[in-house]
Amino acid sequence: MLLYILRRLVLLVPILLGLTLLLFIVARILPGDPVGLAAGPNATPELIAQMKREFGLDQPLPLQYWNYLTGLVSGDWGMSVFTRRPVFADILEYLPATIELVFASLFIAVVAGIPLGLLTAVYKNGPLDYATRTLALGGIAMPRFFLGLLLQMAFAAWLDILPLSGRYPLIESPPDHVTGLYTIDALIAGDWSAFQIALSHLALPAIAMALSPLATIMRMMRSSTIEVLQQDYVMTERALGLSNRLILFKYVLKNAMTSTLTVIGLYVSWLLGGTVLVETVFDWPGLGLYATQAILTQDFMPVIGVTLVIAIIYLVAMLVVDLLYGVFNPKVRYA
Amino acid sequence: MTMTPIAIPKRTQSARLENWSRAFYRFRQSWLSIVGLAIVVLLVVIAIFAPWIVPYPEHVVGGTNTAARFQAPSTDAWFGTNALGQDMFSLVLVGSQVSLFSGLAVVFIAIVVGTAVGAIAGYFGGWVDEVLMRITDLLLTIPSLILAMAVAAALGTGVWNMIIAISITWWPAYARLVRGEVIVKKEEQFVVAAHALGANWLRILGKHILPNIVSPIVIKASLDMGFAILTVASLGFVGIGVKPPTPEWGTLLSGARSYMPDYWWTAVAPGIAIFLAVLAFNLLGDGLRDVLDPKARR
Amino acid sequence: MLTLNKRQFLIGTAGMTAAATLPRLANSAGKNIMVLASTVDIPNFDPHVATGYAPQWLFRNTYDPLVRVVANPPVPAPGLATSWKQSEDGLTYTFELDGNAKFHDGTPVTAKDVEYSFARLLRLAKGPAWMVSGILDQNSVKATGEMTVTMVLKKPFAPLLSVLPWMFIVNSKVVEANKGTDDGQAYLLANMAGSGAFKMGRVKPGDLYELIRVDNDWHKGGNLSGAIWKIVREASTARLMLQRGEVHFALDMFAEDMDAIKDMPKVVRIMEPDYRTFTIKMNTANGPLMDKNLRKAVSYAFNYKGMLDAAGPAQLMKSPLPVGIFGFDPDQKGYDQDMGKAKEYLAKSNFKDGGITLSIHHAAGYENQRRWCLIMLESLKALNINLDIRAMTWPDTVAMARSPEKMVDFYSIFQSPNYADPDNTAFAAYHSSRNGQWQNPVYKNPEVDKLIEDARAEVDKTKRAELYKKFQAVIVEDAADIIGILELRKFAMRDNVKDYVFSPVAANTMEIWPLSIA
Repeated sequence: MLLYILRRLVLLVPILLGLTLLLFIVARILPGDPVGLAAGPNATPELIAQMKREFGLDQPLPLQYWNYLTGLVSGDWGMSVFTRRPVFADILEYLPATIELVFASLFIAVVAGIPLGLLTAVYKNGPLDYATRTLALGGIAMPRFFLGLLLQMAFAAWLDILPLSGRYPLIESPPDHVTGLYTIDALIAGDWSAFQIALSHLALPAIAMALSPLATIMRMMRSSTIEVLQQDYVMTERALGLSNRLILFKYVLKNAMTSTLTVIGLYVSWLLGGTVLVETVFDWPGLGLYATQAILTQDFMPVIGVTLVIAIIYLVAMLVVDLLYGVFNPKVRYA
Repeated sequence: MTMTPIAIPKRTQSARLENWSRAFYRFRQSWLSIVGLAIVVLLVVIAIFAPWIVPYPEHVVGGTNTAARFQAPSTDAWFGTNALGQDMFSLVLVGSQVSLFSGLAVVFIAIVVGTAVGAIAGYFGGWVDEVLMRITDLLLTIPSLILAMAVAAALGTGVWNMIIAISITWWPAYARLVRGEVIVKKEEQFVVAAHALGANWLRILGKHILPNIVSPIVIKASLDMGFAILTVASLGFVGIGVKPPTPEWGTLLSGARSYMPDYWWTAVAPGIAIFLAVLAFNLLGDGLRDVLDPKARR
Repeated sequence: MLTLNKRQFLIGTAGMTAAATLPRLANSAGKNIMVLASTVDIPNFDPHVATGYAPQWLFRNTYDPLVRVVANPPVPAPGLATSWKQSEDGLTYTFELDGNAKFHDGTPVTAKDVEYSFARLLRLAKGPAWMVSGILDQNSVKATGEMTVTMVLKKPFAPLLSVLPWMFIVNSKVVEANKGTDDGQAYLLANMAGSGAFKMGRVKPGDLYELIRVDNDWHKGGNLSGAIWKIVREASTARLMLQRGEVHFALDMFAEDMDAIKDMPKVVRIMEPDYRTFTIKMNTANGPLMDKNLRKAVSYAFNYKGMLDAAGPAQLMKSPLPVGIFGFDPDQKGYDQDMGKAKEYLAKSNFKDGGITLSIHHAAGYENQRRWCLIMLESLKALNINLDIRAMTWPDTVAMARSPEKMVDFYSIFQSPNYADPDNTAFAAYHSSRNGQWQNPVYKNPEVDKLIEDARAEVDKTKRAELYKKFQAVIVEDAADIIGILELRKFAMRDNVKDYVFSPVAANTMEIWPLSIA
């Protein structure tokens, strides 16, 4: 097992190398004049040349890549022309917001999706089943940004019970930075009202993000439960008089874990990259918003940085998911 | 090269026909698939004929009517009018063209590129497979929406730029799929036989392997259409889409944000259009999967 | 039992969610932080380099000029200078500095700093330096005492006191210590060296900029302990935030927003005429629009009525100068839509049958500009000319303005005068020394240059007005711009903001330090 983890970790290195090279090439091929933009309206050619030197853009490409690579390892991910700050610092600042959003939406998806899937399987073809399945079909087809807009209009503008946008009231200072996830930080600080404030801001974007994984997890849970209930051994145990509830607990729990893991595996990348739209709607200061700004101003270092971070998280998440599969399903072997 | 007299046995036409009719029967069993198919057909018809059937074709090409701005939905303008007095109904109807066309184009390009890469990798194996699949895997780890946005923004607005940008992130999934199928089919009798008869690799791939892996591709493509449409709308929504005045659903919705909630109809019409189109293709895709891949039936 | 527990659980969860929504602005008591919602970012903190409205707002609250501008109609008011004298010939100004004034590092503001700042401004020749080009040079401003500054003009300049509010004084010690090779530009790009009421707090480009009141601030007035410049890209979001009390000022509002908040409690609408002009400049230096006949054809083809309809409360301009300003010529009629004349001029041009595609840009997210571009698209269709519309961010726009080759054919631009004098609009937007700048990227006409320079130095009012009349006639005849529109300035504010007074010059860059929150 340990050996397997080690091997997987070692395998990550060439993947990451390839990734950086790919991103580097893409960024250099793309047109755009970031330095000209950064230098400002009145820049002289000398200033532009000087900034090019500062950004290292006047060196040959292979050398630029090498510099970039050595920089990456030492935490120098280049400068953002747009924020005028190191990309790494920017990412550290924006990442927790996105992580919080992704976790919250996965949490909602799992907590609501598993019982719903279970119930619809048990009461198959009942009204609840049809209602939730229709909802699930809609949930996957619903554009997140449209749903976000509708939620915003309903709960913030109309009912006025949840905040419109942002992560925390502008004029308040958020809870002390420990993890950067405001809800968690508030709990650590023991500040209940800060937790409520953070949670109320998180609710709508998290729901907008959660709908699609929720629908998926529900469908998987439903079908796997139906399958379990039709297995011979379950039929036998039923015949032996075991109560339905016990059977469900006995066999379905395992399914729940597997489908959760599968969905996390399927959705981690989708969620991380897909926050772009929801973050735009809710002005959520995360990686997606940061990447969008950078893209719109053709500022490529942040885009590379964000892409790289998401790819790394994705790869690590995949590794963790694979390992956990084994925990819940001894049949899986690490080869 | 000509075929030798020892022909590889072909399935008879009647058996194929029977398969199809059985498939159609299964498809009909699911009313949701029928609904999906119906909406898709309707969408295609609308997309083809929209320029002739919309009530205000001049608005679609940029005409304005500033005297009738922000009219609520009425019998004159079913979906109301926007900031320039343009008829939302006309815009949304014609907007189906961009969405359907780019969705189709993305999936088509992805299939062509993905199949080529996947088939070559699967057929030859070895280092060719290694190199091609490593590149594919790399692309799969990159968040596709962000990459598509970056490429589209760099290329500039325009339908084709958008299609190219999305396709770049789309083909690797097909490459993986096709490679897997090719590796399986490569070992089957009829391929081995064709090989023994001296057929070259292009012929074997094109004539013997690929025709036999059409169904998984079709299933994936039909399921993907919805997401392709969604991605097109997403790019439009963040402001990297088509050039004005071409109406596009995501762009229409993005513009309408400024008028929420007072002039809600400017947002609701394009939003629902995206939703319906994606839903329809998903339903159709589900139906097709049940038909073509009975094992996956639940 | 089990079902009861489940229900209890459900009720508990619901209760928690409901509770979570309640304490929205719970612990904000005791702080007076003003939030301003704008669509524009602040890309540069250097007062001698940056231009544009968001940076200017920053400078007016973190730096100090010698003389400020307040009230409606605008009048000069003491800034760092408590008093000033003008010599008989109008060429020498003497300023006495305020002994209380302190930089953020606690050191006093001295005449040396003023001398240093003007020298740096004019040496760099960026930012607001153009306002005094030909009037002052690097050596014109001298410290003639510890707290006395003397300014010697090269020629008389009537609006001098009106341009001084935009020339900010930096802490010479701090800038010298961080001079680098670029006169401190790299340092001041992201750092402050001012004496203003606020210093910089959180900096989150693209999101927000926080200002924190300086300890023992020497400015008298206002009760704000801080301010936040919040970038809100959607006007509708800004309006909803205002409605909910999350922002105090919404600076970029559209007519639709003003309608929507008409009867909203606790919200005050500010709709005032001011001198901010909107014109669509044509690329006279590159591409098809170098052809004057084509420019005239477009000027006659444009649907001015549609532009006005789509704008909300506004009035169409008839000349390059804002209606009502000194020197404005009421007899100048500009252009009206006249397809007959449009086709006539098109026939005289090199593009008799149209068949070309021209490009236009608008500020990304600026809804009215986008609409006007679409109206242009429709108007040009009648001439068989296609239009390629591009939404651009401010940095992109500025970069594009640098060279005629990169510039679009039609360039949409708002200009907010910083002083209520025709010289501002005329010089910034039409003098060829401004070529390559966003205010006048390409237009170059020696006759116009001469008129502007003569008018700038002319002391006799009647003669000056005559020069501006001529200037307007030449610009209209040359069809340099699609003469556009004067919108009402539209802000919305919470009613707990006290002491706000509208001023028609640079109204969107107001000083907030004299304001209070009740």
